[in-house]
Amino acid sequence: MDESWRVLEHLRLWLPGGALALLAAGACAALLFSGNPSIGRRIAHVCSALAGAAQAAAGIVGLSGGTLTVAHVRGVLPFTDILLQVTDFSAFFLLVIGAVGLAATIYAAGYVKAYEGRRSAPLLHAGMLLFIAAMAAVVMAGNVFTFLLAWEVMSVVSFFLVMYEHERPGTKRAGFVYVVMTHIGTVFLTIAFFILQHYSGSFEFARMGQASLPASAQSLVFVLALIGFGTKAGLVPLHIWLPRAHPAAPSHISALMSGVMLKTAVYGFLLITLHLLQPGPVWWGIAVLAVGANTALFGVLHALGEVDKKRMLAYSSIENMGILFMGIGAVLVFQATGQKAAASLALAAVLFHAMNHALFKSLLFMGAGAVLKAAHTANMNLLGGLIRRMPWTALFMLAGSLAMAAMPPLNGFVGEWLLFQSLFALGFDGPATVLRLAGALAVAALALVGALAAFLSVRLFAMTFLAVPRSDEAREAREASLSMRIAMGLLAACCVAAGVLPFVFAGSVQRALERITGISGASSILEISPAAVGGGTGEIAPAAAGLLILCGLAAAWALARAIGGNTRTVRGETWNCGEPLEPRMTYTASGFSKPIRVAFQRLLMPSRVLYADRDPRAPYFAKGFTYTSQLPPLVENLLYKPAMNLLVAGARLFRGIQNGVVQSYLLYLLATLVLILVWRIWR
Amino acid sequence: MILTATSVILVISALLLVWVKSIMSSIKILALQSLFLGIACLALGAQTGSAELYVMAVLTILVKAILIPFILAATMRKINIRREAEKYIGRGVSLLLASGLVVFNYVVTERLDLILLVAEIQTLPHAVSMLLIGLFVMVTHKKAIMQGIGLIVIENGLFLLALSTALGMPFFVEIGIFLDVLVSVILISILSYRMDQTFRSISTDWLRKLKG
Amino acid sequence: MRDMLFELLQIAVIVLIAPLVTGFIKKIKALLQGRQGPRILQPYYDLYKYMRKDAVVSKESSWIFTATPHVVFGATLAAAALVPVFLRGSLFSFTGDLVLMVYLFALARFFIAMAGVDTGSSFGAQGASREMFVSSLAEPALFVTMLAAALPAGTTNLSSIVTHAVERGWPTSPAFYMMVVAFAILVIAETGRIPVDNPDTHLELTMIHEGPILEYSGKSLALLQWSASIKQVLLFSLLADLCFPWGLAASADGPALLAGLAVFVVKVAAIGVAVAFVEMSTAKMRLFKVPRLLGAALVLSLFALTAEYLM
Repeated sequence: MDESWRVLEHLRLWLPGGALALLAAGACAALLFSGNPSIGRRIAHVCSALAGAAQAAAGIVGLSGGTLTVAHVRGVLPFTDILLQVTDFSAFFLLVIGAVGLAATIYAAGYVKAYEGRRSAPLLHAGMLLFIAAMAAVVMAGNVFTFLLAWEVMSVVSFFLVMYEHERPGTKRAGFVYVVMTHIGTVFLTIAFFILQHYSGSFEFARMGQASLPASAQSLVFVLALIGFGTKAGLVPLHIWLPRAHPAAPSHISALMSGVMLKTAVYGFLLITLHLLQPGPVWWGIAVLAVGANTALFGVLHALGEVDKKRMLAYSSIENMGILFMGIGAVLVFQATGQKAAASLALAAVLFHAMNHALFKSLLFMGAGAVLKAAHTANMNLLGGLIRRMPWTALFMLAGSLAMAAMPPLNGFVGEWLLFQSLFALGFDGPATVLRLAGALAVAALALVGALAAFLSVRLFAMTFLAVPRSDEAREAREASLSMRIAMGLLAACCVAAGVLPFVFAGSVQRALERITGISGASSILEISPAAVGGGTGEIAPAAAGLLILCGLAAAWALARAIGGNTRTVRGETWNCGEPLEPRMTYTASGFSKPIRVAFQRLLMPSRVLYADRDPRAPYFAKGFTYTSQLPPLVENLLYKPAMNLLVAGARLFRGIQNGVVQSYLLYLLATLVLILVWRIWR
Repeated sequence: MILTATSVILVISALLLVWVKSIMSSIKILALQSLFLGIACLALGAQTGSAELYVMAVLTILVKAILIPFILAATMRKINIRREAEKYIGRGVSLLLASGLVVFNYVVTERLDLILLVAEIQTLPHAVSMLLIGLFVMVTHKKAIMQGIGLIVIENGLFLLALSTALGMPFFVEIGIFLDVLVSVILISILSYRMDQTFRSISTDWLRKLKG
Repeated sequence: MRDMLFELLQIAVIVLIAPLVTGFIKKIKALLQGRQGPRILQPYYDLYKYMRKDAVVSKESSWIFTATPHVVFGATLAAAALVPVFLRGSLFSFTGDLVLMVYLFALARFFIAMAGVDTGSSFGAQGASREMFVSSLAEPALFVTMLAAALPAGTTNLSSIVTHAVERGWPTSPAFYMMVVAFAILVIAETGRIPVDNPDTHLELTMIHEGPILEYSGKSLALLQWSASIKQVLLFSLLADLCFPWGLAASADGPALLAGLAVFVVKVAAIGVAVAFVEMSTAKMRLFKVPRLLGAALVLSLFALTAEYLM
C-alpha cells in the first residue's frame, strides 16, 4: 500500500511535466526534420500520442486530490516566475485535454496525409503539438503570468493553425476576426487579473483566493472575466469568430479547438468565480444564466440554418457553451443563496457536460473531416447516402449524433439530466419566488435547446449519410483511413462508456467536488456510484436503462417472430408517386430545417430572394429561377458594423493631422518642445 | 571660458544658417560650425585631461566638419539645378523668429535650476538654442538637403549641451550618435538624388501624397 | 421476486391493452360522426395481418431502416417500465425518472426521423422534419409541466410523485387545473392527434407521424404501429397518474391489483373518450399555427407553476 502510494506520488509529479516535455520535443523534432517530413511527422505524432495518454493518466491520478506543484521556474522573467500546478480542479480538464489530444493525434496520422506535399507541413504538426501543450499549460498555471503566457501562446498558435489553408477563400478573414476577438478578450482578462492582484497583493492563484475584495471590485472583476472568457468561449454577442474560424481550420485542429480550447475558457471562468473571488450576489448567477440561455438558443437556431457541416458544428459548439454557462449560472446562484449541496450538483453537471461535449464534438468534427476528405465537400446539400460507402464512419458519427442529441444511454443524456436536475433544484428549492421562476424558465429554455439539438443531430446524420447521394463526389466517396477510424471509434466508445458508467471514478469526483464547493460528503445532494447517479431530486441508472432498451429490442424481435412466423423481405423501389427516384427529389438539408426558420423568423430574420430570369419577348414564361435563402449575421450587422463605422469615422477625424507635409510634423515637434519648456518654467 | 566663447560663435553660425540663401553656403557654414565645436572639445579635453574627449573631438572634426559636408556637397554637384534654399517664410521674418528663440532660451535657462558639472551656465541657453534653431531650419526649408543640415545642427547643439553639463555623454552613446547622424545624412542625400531624378526637383512639396 | 413478476405483468398489460385503446378511440369517433366504424378489436387483427406478411424494403435504405422498428419498440418498452400503471411504485423506478421517460420517447422519435429520411422519399423526410419540429416546440412546455407536477413531491421520480399525490388528496388550486389542461394539450401533440396531426390519413398535408413510416410494411410496420399505441397508452396513464392518481394499488397483492387494474381501465377509457371529443370538435391546424398552440401550453404551465409558487 505504501509502495503503491509512493509510486502514485511520483507519477503525479512527473506525468504532467513529462507530457509537456514530450510535446515540446515532438514539436522541435517536426521542425528539425523539415527536410525529411515523414520522419518528423511520425516522431511528432508518437510524442503527441504518448503525451496525450500521459496527460489523461495525470488527470485521473490528479483527481485524487491536493495541489501539486509540477514546475516552478524562477527568474525567467524579471518580475515573476513560471508556476505549473495540478489541482484536482485542473486535473479534470487535464484528463479531457489528454484524452481528446490522444484521439486527435491518432486521427491526424491519417488525416494529414492530404497535406503531405506542402512545404509548410512540419509547421502544421509542430503547431498541433504546441497547441496541445499550451492548453495543458493554461489549466496547469499557478500564477497570473503563466496563465496569460500560456493563453497567448494558445491563441497565437491556434491563429496560425486556422490560417494554415490560407489559399482557400474566407480563411484569411476568419483568421483576422479570430485573432482580433481573442485579443480583445485577453485585454479584459488581463485587467481582471490585475485588479485581483491589486487587492490581494500577490500574483499567485493560491494566495489570491484568500483575499477579499470590496463588493464593487468583485463585481467588476466578474464582469471583466465574463467578457474575457466569454469571448474565448463564444458567448453571444462575442461569438462572431467561432463560425468562421472552426470551419476554416483543418479538421483535427477544429476538433481540438471545439473540443478542448473552448473548455479552457470554462476552466478560466470557473477559476475566477469559484476560486479567486468570494461568493457573490445572486445577480451574477442570473446574469450568467441569461447569457447562457441566450447563447444556447442563438447557437442552435443558427446551426439549423447552415448547410456547411463544419459551420453547423461550430454553431452547435456555441449552443453547448451556452448550456454550460447556464449550468455555471446555476452554480453561482446556489453559491449566493448558500445552497451548497445544489451547487455541488450543478458543478458536477457542468464538468460532466464539458467532458461530454469535448468527446462528442471532437468525434463529430473528425467525422466531418473524414467526409470532407472523401467527398471533397462539407455542403450537406451535396452529400447523402454515405452510409453505404463509409459504414464505419457512419456508425461512429451515429454515436456522436446520438450523444449530441442527448439520447439515452449515451453520455450526452447523463450530462443533460444532471443539468436538468440542478435547474429543477433551483425551481423546487430556490429561496425566492423570482429565483424559482428563473429556474423554471431556464428549464424551459434548456428543454427547447435540447430538442432543437436533437433536430440538429438528425439533420446532420440523415442528410450526410442516409438517402441517396446528391452529387458525384458523394457517389465516389471512400471509407476513411484506418487511423481516422480508430480515433473516431475510440471517442465513440468513450461516449458510450461515459454514458453507461458515468462516474467510474466516483470516489475521486466526489472528493474533488467537495473540495471545490466546500461541503462535506454527508450533506451532498449527489450520490454517485459508477453506474448510477442519484440526488435529492431524482435518480437514473443509465446502464440499467440501456439494458432495458436492449431487452425491449430483443422482445420486439422475439414477439415479431412469435406472432408472425418467418417472413421474407424483398427489395423494391421507394414510393415516389410512380416516378423513379432522382437525387434531386430528395429532401435537402435546408428544406429539412425550414419549419424552424419559419417558426423563429422574428428571431432569425431570414432573407429570401427569388429571381426569375425572363425573356423580354415572352415575359410570362421564365427561363430560369434563382432562389437564394440565407440567414443574415444579425449580431455582426446590428452590433459590430455600427461600432466599427463609428470607430472609423472617429479615426478619420484624427487623420487630418497627417497632411503629408514633412515640415508640419517637424513643426509639431518644435511646438511641443517649446510648450514643454514654457510649462516647465511656469510651475 | 573657451567653451562659452565657442558656444556664442556656434549660435551666431546657426543664426547665419537661417539667413543665407544658397545651399553651398549653408554647407560651408555647417562645416565651420562643426570645426569650432571640435576645437572646443579639444580644449576641454586638454583642460580635463580626458582621453575620451580627445577622441570625440577628432571624430567630430573628421565626421561632422569634413565627411558630412563633403557628402552633402557631392550630392549638390550631382543635382545641378536650383542651388537656392527655398523657404516657407522670408529670411527677415525667420531671422527674427530664430532670434526670438534664442532670447526665449535665455529666459528659460534662468528660471530652471540645474546642476552642472562644468559650472558654465552661460553655454546652456546657447546649446538649447542651437537645438531649436536646427529644428526651425528643418521646419522652414522646403528642400530635403536643408533638413539634413538642420539635423546636423541639432546634433551639434546636443553635443554642446552634453559637453557643458556632463563633460560629454558616455562613449558608446557618442559613437552611436555619430553613426546615426552619418547614416541619416547619407539617406537624405540619396533621397534628394532620387527626388531629383523623379521630380526634377528636391522640394519636399512633391512628397505630400505620402499619407495614409 | 413476486414484485418482479407483477412488474412484468404491468408491462405486459400495457403492451396488450394498447391496440385496444386505439380501437376504442376510433370506435368512439365513428359513433360521434354517426357511422358504425370498425370493431374495437380491429387493431389486433391488423397487427396480426401485418406480422404475417412479407415486407418490401426500399433498396435505397440502410441498416438504420431495418433496425428502427426494434429500437423504437425497445425504447417504448423501457419507458413502459418506468410508468406506474396500476401499481403505485414501479420496480424499475431506480432506472430513471420523468426526464428519462421523455428522452426515451425522444430516442424513438430520433430513429423514426432517421428512417424517414433513409429511404430517400420526400414524404418520409417531410414527415421527419415536421415530427422533430413539433416535438421540439412541445418539449419546453412538457418540461415545465413536469416541473409543476413534480413540485409538490420535490422529486422527478415517477413513483414518488404518484405516492405523494395519492397521499395529498384532491387539489383545489387553479394551478392544478391549468397544469392538467397544459398537459392534455401536450398529450395530444405527442400522440399525434387532431389538432396537431391526423393519425388516420396518409396525405402529405397531415402526415407528421405517419410520414416516416410510410415505407414500412410487414413485421416492421406492425412493431411501429404497436409502439405508437403503447406510447399513447403511456401518455394517457401518465396524465392519469399525475392528475388523478387515486386507485393505484399500494402493494402487489391480489384484490388491490385487480382494483387498480379496473380503475386504470376506466381512467384510460375516460381519457380516450375525451380525446375523441377533441378530435371531433376541432379541425387540424396548419403546421405553422401549431407553435401557437404549444406556446399556449407553455404559458399555461408557467402560470400554473407561478401560482403554485405563490401559494
